[in-house]
Amino acid sequence: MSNHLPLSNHMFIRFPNVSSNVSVARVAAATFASFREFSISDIEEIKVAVSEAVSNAVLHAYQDSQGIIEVTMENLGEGIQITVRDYGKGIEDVAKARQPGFTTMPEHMGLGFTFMESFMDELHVESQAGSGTTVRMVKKA
Amino acid sequence: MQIEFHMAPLFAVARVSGELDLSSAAKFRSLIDQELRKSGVPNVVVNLKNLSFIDSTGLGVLLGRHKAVKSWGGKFILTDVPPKIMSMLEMAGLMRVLETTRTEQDAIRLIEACGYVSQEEASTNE
Repeated sequence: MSNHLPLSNHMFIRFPNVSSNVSVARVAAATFASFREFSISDIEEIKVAVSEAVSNAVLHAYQDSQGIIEVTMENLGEGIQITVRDYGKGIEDVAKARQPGFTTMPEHMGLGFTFMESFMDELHVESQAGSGTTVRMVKKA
Repeated sequence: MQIEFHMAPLFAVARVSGELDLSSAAKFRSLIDQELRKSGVPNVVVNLKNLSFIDSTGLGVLLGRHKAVKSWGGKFILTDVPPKIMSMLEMAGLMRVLETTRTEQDAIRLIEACGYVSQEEASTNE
């Protein structure tokens, strides 16, 4: 019996901006990816990318208030697509935020987007002040 | 994430297991800082053999502890770094900043060669 899922398979998780949910999201993404032809190191890379995207949403989207983060995982013909969405304050200057080393917080590396970009085949960031941020990443199998 | 400490007069060995990310970074920082404050030892050996995951938040907190220990002239040495953690350190450019050795014994030899005796004395020696 094949353990490959139908191409239309997808999963959607929705959770509050609590830091312990970062690991739940990356483990869910890694498990979802494990049904495709990814190597162990590909799956490790997916875990880091999801961890970075969800950590950004937890840290920056809602400041000190509670808010919702959504992660959608989709099986594409060529691999998987993972979308991390928040409805928070948005990123004022996406190009600046994506620069390696850019951070607004002490003891942070400012490498979140750099890791997402390096570890995934595609990275698209859409953000609007006041309505939130959507990070869409594709990893080809 | 868990840390098991082994103390010696010149150094603390911190054996870290689990995952170092946003949910555990603050715990890592406070456990290391607390242990150093309590014991007064100037040097830290961080054994990463059982660290199974790190992301940029985890790397940031390692760099932060390195800077704190360096501020009083102590040594912050990573040992037994698993290959996937090592490649994250390399990608982040931290191999140019952080000191690493293959084993705890190698790190201890390096520290003993320096011979610091306390955080205060290490600071005065700077």
